[in-house]
Amino acid sequence: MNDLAQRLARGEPAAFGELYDCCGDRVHHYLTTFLGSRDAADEAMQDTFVRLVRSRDRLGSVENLVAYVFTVARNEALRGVERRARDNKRLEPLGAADLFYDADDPVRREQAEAVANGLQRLGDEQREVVELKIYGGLTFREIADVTGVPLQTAATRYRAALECLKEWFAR
Amino acid sequence: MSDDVEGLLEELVPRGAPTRLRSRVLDATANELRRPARLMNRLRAAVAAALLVGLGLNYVVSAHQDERLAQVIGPPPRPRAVTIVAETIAPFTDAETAEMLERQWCQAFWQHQKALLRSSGPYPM
Repeated sequence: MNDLAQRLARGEPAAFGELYDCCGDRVHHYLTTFLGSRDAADEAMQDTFVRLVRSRDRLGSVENLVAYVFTVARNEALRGVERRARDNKRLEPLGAADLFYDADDPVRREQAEAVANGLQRLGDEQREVVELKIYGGLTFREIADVTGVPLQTAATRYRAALECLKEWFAR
Repeated sequence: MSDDVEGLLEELVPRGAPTRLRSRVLDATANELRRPARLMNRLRAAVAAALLVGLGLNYVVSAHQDERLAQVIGPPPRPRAVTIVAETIAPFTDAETAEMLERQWCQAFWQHQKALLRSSGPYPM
């Protein structure tokens, strides 16, 4: 990963392709839940990589590249949210098909719907922590760095979110 | 029980980015990689040039300020005490000597005034 960071810092185009392959899907899923739209996530994803290119001098000294990409993506997502607020745009809630691959098994499909609905019901901060932990594959330390909160807060939010989901699923 | 919820969430396969997005993002990345080096270098050169020009102009303006002021508002006024001394010595020497002395004393007087202003700072009380 350190080698990749050095190559990114040198501005090797292939290195950005490797970075995309390494975490593109996870970051896109995170952006989708953050922005509530796959199209908006596409835009933010592109902006994230352009931003990474512009600040590539810093990439060589980044300790955790994946967490850094999530941080840059989060900043882009926040800009997207601001733009949307200015434009007064409203979005339809995300469905299971936006978040998960279609399953042949009807039980699994129902499960996906329940999870998608459950995630919608969580607060933004709780949803973000669940997303980063489960689908982003980040540790609590990394989540704390990405979201700018203390480690304990990240862990507490995650536990609270799971409790909320548990209650939601029990209904 | 939380483990059950975690398990439930983990069982689902998250949808990744659309396939076409990869090439779109990497094209934008490649464009950006080509662009900024030239742009940033030009920007840095422009800033450096602007600074140098600014410094040069400041030096030129400072060096010629007295001449320009004299051209615009005429020579600095002659202090009355210097004029009186020059008029007093004129009958004992000659007009040319008196004028030369008056010019030199004026110059010394204004240099002294400038030195006083400089030593008292930009906003003399």
